[in-house]
Amino acid sequence: MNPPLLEIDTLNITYHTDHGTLSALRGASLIARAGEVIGIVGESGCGKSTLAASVINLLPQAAEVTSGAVRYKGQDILRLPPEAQRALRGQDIAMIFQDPMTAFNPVLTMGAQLVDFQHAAQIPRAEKMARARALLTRAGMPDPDLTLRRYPHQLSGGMRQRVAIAAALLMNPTILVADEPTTALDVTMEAQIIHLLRDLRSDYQGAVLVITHHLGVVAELCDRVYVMYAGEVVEEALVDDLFHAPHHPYTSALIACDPGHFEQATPILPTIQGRLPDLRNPPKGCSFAPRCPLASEICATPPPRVQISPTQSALCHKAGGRS
Amino acid sequence: MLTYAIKRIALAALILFVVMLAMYGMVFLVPGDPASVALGPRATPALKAMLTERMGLDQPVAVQIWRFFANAAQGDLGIDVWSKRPVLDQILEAFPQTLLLGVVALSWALTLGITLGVLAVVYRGTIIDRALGLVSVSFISVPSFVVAIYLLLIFAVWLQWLPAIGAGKAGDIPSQIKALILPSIAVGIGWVGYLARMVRASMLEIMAANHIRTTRAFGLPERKVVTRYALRLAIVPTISVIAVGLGSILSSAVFVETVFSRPGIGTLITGAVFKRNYPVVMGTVLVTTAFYLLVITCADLLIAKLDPRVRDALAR
Amino acid sequence: MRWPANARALRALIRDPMGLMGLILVTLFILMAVAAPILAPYDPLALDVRAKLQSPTFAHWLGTDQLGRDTLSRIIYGARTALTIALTAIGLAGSIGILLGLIAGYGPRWLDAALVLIFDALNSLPMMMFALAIITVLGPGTGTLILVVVLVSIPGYARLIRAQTLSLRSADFIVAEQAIGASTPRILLMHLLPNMFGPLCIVLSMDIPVVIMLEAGLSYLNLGVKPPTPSWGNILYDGYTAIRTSSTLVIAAGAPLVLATLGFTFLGEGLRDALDPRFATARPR
Repeated sequence: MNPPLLEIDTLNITYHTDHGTLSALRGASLIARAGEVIGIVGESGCGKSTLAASVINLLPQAAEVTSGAVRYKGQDILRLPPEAQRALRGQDIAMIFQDPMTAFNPVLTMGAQLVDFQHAAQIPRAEKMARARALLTRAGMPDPDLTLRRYPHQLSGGMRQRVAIAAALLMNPTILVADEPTTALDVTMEAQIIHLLRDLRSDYQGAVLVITHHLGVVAELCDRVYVMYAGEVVEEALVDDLFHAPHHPYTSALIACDPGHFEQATPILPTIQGRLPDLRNPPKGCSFAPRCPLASEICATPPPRVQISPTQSALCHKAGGRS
Repeated sequence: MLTYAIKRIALAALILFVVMLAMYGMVFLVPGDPASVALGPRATPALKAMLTERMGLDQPVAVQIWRFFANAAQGDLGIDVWSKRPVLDQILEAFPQTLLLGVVALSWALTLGITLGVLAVVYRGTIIDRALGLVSVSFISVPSFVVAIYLLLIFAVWLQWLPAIGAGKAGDIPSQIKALILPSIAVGIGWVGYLARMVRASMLEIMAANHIRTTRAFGLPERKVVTRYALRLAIVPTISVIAVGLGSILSSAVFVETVFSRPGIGTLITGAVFKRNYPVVMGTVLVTTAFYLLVITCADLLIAKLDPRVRDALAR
Repeated sequence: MRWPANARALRALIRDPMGLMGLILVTLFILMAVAAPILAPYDPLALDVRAKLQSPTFAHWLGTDQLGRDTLSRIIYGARTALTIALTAIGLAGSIGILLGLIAGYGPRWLDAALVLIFDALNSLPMMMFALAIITVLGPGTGTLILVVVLVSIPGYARLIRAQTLSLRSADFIVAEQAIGASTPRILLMHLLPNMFGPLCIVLSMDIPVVIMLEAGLSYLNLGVKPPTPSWGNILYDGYTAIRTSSTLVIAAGAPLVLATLGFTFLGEGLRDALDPRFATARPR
């Protein structure tokens, strides 16, 4: 097994807001190796976007890393000086953002921006343009030269997301983070982008993190999956194991609610009862207990991380005893 | 871009036409014969006859209007009935003075306003920011002529540091500069507030924008992020504000020039209003409107050039 | 029911220091205007030439002017003048502006285009120039003053209402009303207008200081309210002519103008913040 390219080690992040201090990430850990596509799944507010932001180190000002580390090739990037952190961004670690509509500067051409993003490369401008053009072609743009001359508002959302993917690959980053790459797109565009990402896998040697709340995307793209809930990683598994043999009740519930997994047509859509815990006052025991069908008294204590197999673990008192 | 330019200029010309029509037509809307109205209560029959003949008031309305426009197009805005001098000459004499006042006021207001705006952004959320916000709003709302009078009181009457009257001696630059200080402060002070608020709002909105986050995510140095990406966007609304602000100088100038007894459009028109000197008033209004329209049109065209979204939206 | 939203907005306004200051100043201004006969120690028109241009004394708290009239009384009555003119002008301008705006937004496109052209034309005129032109033709006086202010203010209201109408006219609830055959006036007055209440209030409160300034400015130039009726502008002019002899008059005349315009502007800004949609959602207590 390759050594991990990226290792998030028991990361705790809090947000200081007007309404109090929120524990956005509580002891989250994650490993990514070369050639892997890792999925991070969870509902809104589970902390997955915070996790993504911590990898590229663009946390908002209100965020505070209270403990833990994010190690890139063994080095804790959270504790590097700002200049060193900046040097990594776009070069070693690249990000694809959720909203293609607002991701690009409206008054500069795509070509100009793509050239700017290669600022660290000591090559002439013409060569930067050529690289941009090549990647646009690779990303499936029908007319790369025209695209380079266009302004963002002249392109559709799907096309902009393709450019965003091409942009992220410009400097051949080791880690690629895609934060909800298809959430802002309609279904046909979503399919195209997933197709593109799958296609690009073959050329790409680094590690990819795909953050999404859509289980379908996970099934199509990912090798391994981390399921997050209320700031914690509640389950970690290979993608097949996740869907066919989940060990955390939350994972099972998520899968049950996903329309893609229904066996029969049903007039009533299943939901998960209850609501998210208030992260200003994180629960002492299992976060999911109030909503869990399997909950009992022991769940009021912090659950252990049960290692079901070398590739699967779940944060649950009841895990391991189920098949 | 070209179509947009043509459309804008045509619109400006149309508006000017409407204004001219309204100005000329106002005299007719009022009860009483136009000559009396234009001349006021002191009109003697001789004066009235002269005006009627000169303005062609005895001819059909359509002909009058046509003659007026024809004359105006040639630069003939009529003769001042009192001083017998061409109106246009008087305006051309007075305008540069007002323009000088406006440009000086604009310069220092821009400098101070943008600085305060940027400060508010740098210290956003702190008490400095809130204080600056309060100061900005106060500056915007205080009437310029009150400021002018208070400045006159403090600096010219009590402290006697600066002159209270006039524009300085011709050819004597230092005296002219001294005479410009107080009036330009009075005119500019509203702008400072406006600009500070606008720069602040604009910069905050931009710095928080997703596309700025993208540039940071690609590791671009902060300096480049601000100058190449953020500032370019912030300039666009600033141009609008400056253009509109120029219109407000013309209004403030009326008061400030009166308070400091400076020569200029303001003094010209207020004097004319008292004497019911309609040709001068009408001529001044037309010239200032044309100037203002010119400025606004140029600003709009400049914005279209800088922001491709505007260009495309309007070319349709 | 709109009341819960308004009550919340009011509370938000009071919590904001700027809004609170604005509210206090405006209330004082209105009190001064309304209770003028009670508050003023002297008749504002009463002459006493022997006592001219006095500094503040026990008898005359703010001194006297060139004709021996009590400055304090004149200023208190000046508030009354300012408020009366402001309310009249804004009432007229507002009504006409709202009507024109509704028509422009809801009616046929050619009418809209024509009205927009007129509004743009009015906006292209530097405000004072336009005012002065009208005054030249009609002669100075309170009536002309009000007419001028009305004409200058109409485009502002009309544009706001027009913009709101345009954005609301395709809203579902309007289309629904049309579908059941509601008449146009009914739609305009009972459905469109009430939804513009918030922005309208803000524009109104921001417009009052402009009107007060315009009135004071024109009166200062002796082109507005005719003396001896007290207007802050008139008093300021008297102060200006006597500036080398007595500074009290000038300071006394300028201060209420500044405070009143500041007050209304702060109130308007505070209202804008308070009526921000953020405050419209209920916050858990």
